[in-house]
Amino acid sequence: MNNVLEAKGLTKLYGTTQAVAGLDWQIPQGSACAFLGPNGSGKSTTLRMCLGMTPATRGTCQVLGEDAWAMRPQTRGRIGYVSEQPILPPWMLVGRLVQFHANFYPNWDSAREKKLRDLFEIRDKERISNLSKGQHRRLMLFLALCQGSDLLLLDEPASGLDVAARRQLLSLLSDFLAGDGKTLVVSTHIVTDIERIASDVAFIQAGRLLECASLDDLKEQVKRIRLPRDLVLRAEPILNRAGILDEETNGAQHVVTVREFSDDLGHALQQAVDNQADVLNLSLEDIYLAIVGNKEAVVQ
Amino acid sequence: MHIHLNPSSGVPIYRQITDEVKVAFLRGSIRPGDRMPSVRELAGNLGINPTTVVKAYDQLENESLIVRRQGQGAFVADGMQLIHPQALSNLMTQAARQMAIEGRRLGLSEIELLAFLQEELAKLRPRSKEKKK
Repeated sequence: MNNVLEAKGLTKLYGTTQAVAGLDWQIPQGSACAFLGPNGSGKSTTLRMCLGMTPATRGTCQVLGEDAWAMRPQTRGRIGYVSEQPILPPWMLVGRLVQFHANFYPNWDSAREKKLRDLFEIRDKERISNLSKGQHRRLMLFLALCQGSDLLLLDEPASGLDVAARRQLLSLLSDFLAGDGKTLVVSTHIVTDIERIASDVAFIQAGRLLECASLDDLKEQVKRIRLPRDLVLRAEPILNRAGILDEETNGAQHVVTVREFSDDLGHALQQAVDNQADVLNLSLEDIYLAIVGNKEAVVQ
Repeated sequence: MHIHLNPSSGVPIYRQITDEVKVAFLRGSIRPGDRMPSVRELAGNLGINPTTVVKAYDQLENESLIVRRQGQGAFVADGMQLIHPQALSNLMTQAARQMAIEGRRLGLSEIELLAFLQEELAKLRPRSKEKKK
């Protein structure tokens, strides 16, 4: 499959601090990738390198077939970006900025602009410096969605949005993805939102990619198993084959989270423990905590 | 057809959709020949990825529960009438399993567990003439 984004050994140093540490990452065209990680794990820096907004210290990043740092303006124009920080020029009027963007992007979608204006409460006469943080973000989202981009990179798009607006955003992203070959990358803290829309998930910690997999696969493979403590020895050889992510003992119960569960393994396990094991499904949040949470604490 | 999703339940969303479609049939809210919502429409309403809906529809089509007609969309197939026993048993197995697991976790005996079930059933029984809330 065609990769829209391909990072190899991507590294960013700020002084001696490694913000991104040899990241290898591929995003196939058409996927909706949730980019998850703790604060300071390198999400924003990675996205900025992918956009050519900040140079990599080492490694390469190809976006839409071109080196991110030497991207042609036409190619850059196919990428929509919403940054975590407000970056729109504060002195401009909203209407002028929208006009400016519409002229700048050849694929600007006027029909969508019309449709989304009310929804995003775009008021042309307002000065950008007077917008609240939430309004500023809505304006950035509005611009990104109207650009007719092939690739949308959203850095914490939902922060500062209320519940209804977040749900609205999911509908809009769903609509974006229904277009031909569109690709979405969203970094976020709000795991429950992205769980609806993501096809793939990438977990980053301390500048490294811990996991990059399809969300459906993760949900079918990462399981939590609860069994009586006295049966742990019998279960252990089988659980070890499944890649233990974490385990703990609560009183008489032993709880193990594994990475590679399968039906076969489940049968073998139940046979070994005389059907005494409970196999539990996990939410993306649980999976995130099991995979990211069990690594050593990040030093920010 | 109303589709209820619980994205964080741990069950992949496409499987929740296929289950919900079967439930909708069992409840009588869809019938063979009915048009299914378009992929874009359903995905937009639920705020989910269109490819997830495609995956669910593919699955339903493989099971001959829906048919796609060129340019017209997807329709509930006659095959849906055949799912009754199997789908019902699948759905009930899941629910019963959940109850069994929870019961065991709490250390309930089989009789105690069944008593809970009977109690809940009794609550759902329509009372004569009395309107339920």
